[in-house]
Amino acid sequence: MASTTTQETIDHGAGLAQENLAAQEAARSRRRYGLFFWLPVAWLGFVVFCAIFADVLPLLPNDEMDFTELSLPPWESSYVLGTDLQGRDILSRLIYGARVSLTVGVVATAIGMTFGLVIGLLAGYYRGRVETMITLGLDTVLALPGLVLLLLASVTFGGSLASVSISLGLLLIPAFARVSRANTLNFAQREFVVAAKAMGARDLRIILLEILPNVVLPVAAYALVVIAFAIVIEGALSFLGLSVPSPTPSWGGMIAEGRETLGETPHISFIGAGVMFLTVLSFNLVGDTLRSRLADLREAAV
Amino acid sequence: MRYLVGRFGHLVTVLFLVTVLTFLLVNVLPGDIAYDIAGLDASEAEVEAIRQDLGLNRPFVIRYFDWLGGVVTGDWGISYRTGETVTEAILSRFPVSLELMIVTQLLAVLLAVPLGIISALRASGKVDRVVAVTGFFFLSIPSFMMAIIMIYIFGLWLNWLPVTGYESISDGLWANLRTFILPALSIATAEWTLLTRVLRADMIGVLQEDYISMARAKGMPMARILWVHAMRPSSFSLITLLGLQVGNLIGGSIIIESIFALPGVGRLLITAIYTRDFMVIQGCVTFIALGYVVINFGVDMCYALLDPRVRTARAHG
Repeated sequence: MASTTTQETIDHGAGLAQENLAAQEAARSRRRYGLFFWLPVAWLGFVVFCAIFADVLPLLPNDEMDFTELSLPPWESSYVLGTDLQGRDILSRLIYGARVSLTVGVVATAIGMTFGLVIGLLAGYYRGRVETMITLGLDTVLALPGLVLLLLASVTFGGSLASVSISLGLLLIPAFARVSRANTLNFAQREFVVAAKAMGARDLRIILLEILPNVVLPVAAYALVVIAFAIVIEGALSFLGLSVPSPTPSWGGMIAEGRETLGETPHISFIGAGVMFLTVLSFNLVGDTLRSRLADLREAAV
Repeated sequence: MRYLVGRFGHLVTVLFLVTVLTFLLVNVLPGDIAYDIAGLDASEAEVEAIRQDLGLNRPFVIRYFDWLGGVVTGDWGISYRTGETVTEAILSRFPVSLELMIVTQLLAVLLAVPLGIISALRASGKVDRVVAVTGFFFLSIPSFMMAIIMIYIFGLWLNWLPVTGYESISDGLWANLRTFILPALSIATAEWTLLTRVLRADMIGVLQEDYISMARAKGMPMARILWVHAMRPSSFSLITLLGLQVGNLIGGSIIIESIFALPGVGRLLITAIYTRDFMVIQGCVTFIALGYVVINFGVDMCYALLDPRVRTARAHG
């Protein structure tokens, strides 16, 4: 009788150990970045590489019209991805278009993140009246229809890389400010901040050296998802012809151009659409993975 | 009550800001509107006459308040291009935008509710994971891209539905609805993901309640438990999100309306932008922004009415 109990106990113990192992295994696999992380990273690296070295790569000119080779399908001639309605090389336009999308995505996000961080840190650190004012201001801006204002801005300031990036960047500030504020609140009451205060550190020092390093990571992970959003908005604007003026190539513009002859030459729209989709999806996947990873880390720390 | 007054004050502030911003952006435009209207070969005197006529010589602030007064009293000005009054132009196109919005949300709910329930029922199961991953993919497809895909598949390849144009409801309900299916589907394919996520999260919580276990123990059929007992308490966030999405849709359907040539407010705005018809741009933006702000305000109010916690939380914080 006693022996069976012991046996059961041992079995039970082994079971526990196994469960423990399984839990560790699960935790480890959660910590490892999977294929859904590295594939998007590779794709983004490839796109960024092409965009940066577009001038050096052996590409055909992106604005030269070849009137003998209009709307060529891919793989059938010297034009690797074919030509568009005006006989321009699609591959070359795709790569130069990546420059537009990435520039707007990164610059707008950088503007939004920089100002958003400053505002969020101030609101989260000083609380009180400063916070109330800032929150009211943010709510007001968030209550405005962003896309419509962006359309209006593109009419007013004309479509150019700079004007689209700046006006989109300004519209992104409130979202970043909210995220930064929430994260700042999280850290402003922690022991190390209290300790720094007790030692007589000035506010600026505390914000820059104690809080900012903790806040910047989650905000940066969020920024990746925002880049995807910015690329989509730029795509919508250039689809409407309200972003960079033609003949500068842009992904949205390429999708719009192929729309007229979708039935006969679908490749013109779909190549642009496919590349844009993969890029947006990649930013979303990487951003999402990093965000949940950071959340896990924080949970573990607590 | 204090909460209500506070929110209302906020609403008025935002509305005021919207009109200022719109007027500012339209009126700092490079180039003189009068030249635009007069045409290239007009004499200086003709341009001056137009300027006089439109009151463009007056100071900026006076013009703003003059226009704002018109907005409040229903006189939104006259289109430089068509001579139509802006109020009429917008009101005649609004029903089309509204119908697009309704059909879109209906399709989104039809997709989201069953998927949300199935996902919640076996959380982290195979179906749940497939739905989540699919949703993630669809979220990365902007509506204008989805529109192109829809046109290609259903319009050109299968030839099931019209790809552009609009039939008024007087030509029959089906003829009218047909023209809305592809545009609405293009937007709904991105909308349902968020709705599904929200419903799934709420539903998982509700399904763990004691009264659900009780109903199961009594042997009540699962379908009845889901629809009758679990659905209502789970749909709270869903309804809020639906309302918020309607606000976003007012702006978001602009591009879809112009792709599918639906004569709504969005298309009116885009056409006005291309032809630099400033009064119409100003009117459309104000109208869309008003709708957006008022709907969001309404959603906020409903939320407070339904859930007392929101009222007190905001009053305290």
